[in-house]
Amino acid sequence: MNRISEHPVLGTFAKGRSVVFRLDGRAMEGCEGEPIAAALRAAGVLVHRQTARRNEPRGVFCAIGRCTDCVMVVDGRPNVRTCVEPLREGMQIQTQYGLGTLRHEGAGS
Amino acid sequence: MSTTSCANVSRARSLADQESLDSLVICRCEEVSRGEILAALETGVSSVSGVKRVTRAGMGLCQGQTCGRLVTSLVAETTGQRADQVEPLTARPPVRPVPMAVLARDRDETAMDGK
Amino acid sequence: MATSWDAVIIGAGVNGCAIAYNLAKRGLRVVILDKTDVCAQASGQNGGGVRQSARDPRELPLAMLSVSLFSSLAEELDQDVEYVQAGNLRLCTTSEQETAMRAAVAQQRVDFGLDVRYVDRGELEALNQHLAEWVVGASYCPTDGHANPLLTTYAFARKACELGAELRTGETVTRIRLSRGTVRSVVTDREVYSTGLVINAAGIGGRAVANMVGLDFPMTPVFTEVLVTEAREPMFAQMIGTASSDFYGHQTTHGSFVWGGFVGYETFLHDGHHGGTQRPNYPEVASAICRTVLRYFPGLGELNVIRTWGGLIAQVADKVPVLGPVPEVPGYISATGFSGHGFGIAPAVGRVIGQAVLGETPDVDLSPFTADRFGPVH
Repeated sequence: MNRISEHPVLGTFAKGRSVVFRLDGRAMEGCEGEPIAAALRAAGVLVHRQTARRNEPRGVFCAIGRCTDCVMVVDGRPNVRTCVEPLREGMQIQTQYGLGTLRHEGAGS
Repeated sequence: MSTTSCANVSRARSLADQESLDSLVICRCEEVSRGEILAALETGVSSVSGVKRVTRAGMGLCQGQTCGRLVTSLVAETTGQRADQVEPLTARPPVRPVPMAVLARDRDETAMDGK
Repeated sequence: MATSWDAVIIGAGVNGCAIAYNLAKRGLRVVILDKTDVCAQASGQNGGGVRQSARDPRELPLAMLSVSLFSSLAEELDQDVEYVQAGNLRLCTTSEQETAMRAAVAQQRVDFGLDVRYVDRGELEALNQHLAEWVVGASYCPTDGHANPLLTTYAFARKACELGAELRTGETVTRIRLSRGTVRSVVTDREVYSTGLVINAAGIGGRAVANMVGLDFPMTPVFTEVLVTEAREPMFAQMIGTASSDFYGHQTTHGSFVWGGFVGYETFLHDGHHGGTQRPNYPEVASAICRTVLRYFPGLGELNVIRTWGGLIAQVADKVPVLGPVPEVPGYISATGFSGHGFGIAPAVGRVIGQAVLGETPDVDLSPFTADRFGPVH
């Protein structure tokens, strides 16, 4: 997925420096201080978690920190709203399965 | 909505699989379906708070911010009221998640420092 | 045109619904009346504890009967009530607390045969790995636990209705008519219910209902608050309390922690309750509860609080309910004044009040709970 570098209305963007973080152990790059969800989207990652009951994929929904669909485990803490949480260098981000990081099969964990 | 689009919607609804309509997720946080909410409303529950207590709709991480209006309209439909006549979910602080350590400190000085 | 009933129960909280279930099961024609809704008051603003330890000794037989009923309640009512029997820990941080707790625990064992004992730090760590280093020990009652008060109340209500009871919400009782001192009917803002039996399970409204038949009892509403955290993977399953009684709570089946606390000025808080569902919250109370909880469980600091709520405790002067028939008002039965701990004993209250209604000897002697214990009734 490409980032918009110049927008017809908003112009250009001053982004933070490029930093390395990890998603499920995989090294990735993003801009320091941007929402984690933005860095993930720019890298083509749209699934942030699997729900507890129905084991269904979720990602960004409201994008304004309200709906909590986009939550992931960040530096060991679950339920972090990635659309409002700023990316920091070295962050360990994990796909959230239910309330944690262990994959579960089928409906219910 | 124009009469043409209303007719289209109602035709689409009658064509839609009832099962898939019932399995529509209303409360995204707690994964409560439309069918579960309607089933609750058939068993002596008649308020939004009642639906919440019995199905957990509105009890999840977003505290009903996303599903509140949808649940209200289902209750209104079922009880024959207008949506604005139905008592909504009770709004309570905090309006967004706040760590216990921050709330404990009582003053908004620095962000949580892990202490 | 009055309708005729074997019993009218005022209050659709957990005790009212448990009583309705027990009466409907025995074939009585019962109606439950509530001025708002099922679970609208204390049963819906509830810590969910199913506890025997640290109760007033008078309540212990009811609590012990209740625990045995809870173990099969889900099956009986065809509804999961999220009952967890993982024990109760009352935490001590000083040697004075330890001494007092050891004595209290010994007393409960001797007087009631309750399975409760004091555990020192070593044994405590095996039970709960999240405690601060200055927690020296705790009382431990393995048969205590917790359940979901909302599901339990609705389960009783639903089962009662399946067995023929009727539930009418949004209907306010305005009068109880007596004829020659005996209950004859219950009047609401909608209709008249002809009955020889009225059961006062009105919780926070219990005193006003008692007044309708010329009775009174010393009850004051006490406002208390609770906070709820985000759901987390299971950390511990015990119900938690403290020797200093400053907070209580547990981690629910769904993963969120429910923490209530007593910050010291509850009796001075005016809750502004006007019969609706909107109650104020006092931010300083949630802060105080957080400080207290984190003193004992420092690792919970990063957990997000997602909600606070408050409720009214129907606190009777001696902190136990008023239960049972009142001989001075034939047909009137009291089942109210649970003083903040009515959920845990509800299944037993349902049973014994049901037995009292039917003229059977209750499984638990109700004489410690009579209305005349505060003085002559009339």
